[in-house]
Amino acid sequence: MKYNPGKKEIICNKELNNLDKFALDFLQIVGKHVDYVVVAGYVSILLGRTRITEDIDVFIKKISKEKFIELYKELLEKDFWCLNAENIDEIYGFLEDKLAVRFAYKNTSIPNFEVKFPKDKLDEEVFEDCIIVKLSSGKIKISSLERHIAFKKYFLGSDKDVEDALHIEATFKEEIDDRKIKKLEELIKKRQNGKTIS
Amino acid sequence: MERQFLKPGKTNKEDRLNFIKFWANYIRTHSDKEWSQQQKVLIDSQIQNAKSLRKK
Repeated sequence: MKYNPGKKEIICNKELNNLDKFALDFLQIVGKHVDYVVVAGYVSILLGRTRITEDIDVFIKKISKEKFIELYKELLEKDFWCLNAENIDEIYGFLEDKLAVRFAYKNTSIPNFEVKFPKDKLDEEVFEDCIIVKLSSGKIKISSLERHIAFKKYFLGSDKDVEDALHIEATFKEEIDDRKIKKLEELIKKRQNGKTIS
Repeated sequence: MERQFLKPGKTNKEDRLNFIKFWANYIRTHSDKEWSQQQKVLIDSQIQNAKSLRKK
């Protein structure tokens, strides 16, 4: 696995597991309609962490209802379904209310994708420094490694999250920008104290 | 390549953290194919188990 921070890309020739294949299937459709970035636990798993998750978190940029309808139609055509509702107005309404909606292969519940719009500036910034993981049969856009570590350690903070962060820190220890993590830690703490991030 | 050894932890938490560092080092020193085949066994079996449980 080779990470090139300058190019913002990781080249990974891993043998794909079923979670990776599920992610590529779903994101290949999503990516045609809207900009996305995968965040949280699956980032660590994609990059080698030895654990499973039932959901993959993804931010999509805020899009119009019309565009979302096109995305939803294609997801249905390609055998996905929404776990939260069938009605498009209801699904889009959840997203507008900053709630996450989940999609899985039809007639299943796991694994699933948790799709959400960014809630604030800090969430929106995930699109600015994201990196691309190039796999044998596709690409996946993930949050920057520093952002991933900072959110896991300073926002989420459970044992599992700290372990996910440690996996990335230890795997990419020579390429990680510690100053960037520190800056993000400060922003996250501001957000936790209720201050607006602008 | 010199073999790396896993340091036993004094607590379950420390042991888990030691294993994560050990595994990260394995990833750094082995080909993507070598580590991902092992990850695939773990992940695919757990997804399969979950699906089997839902069918029951």
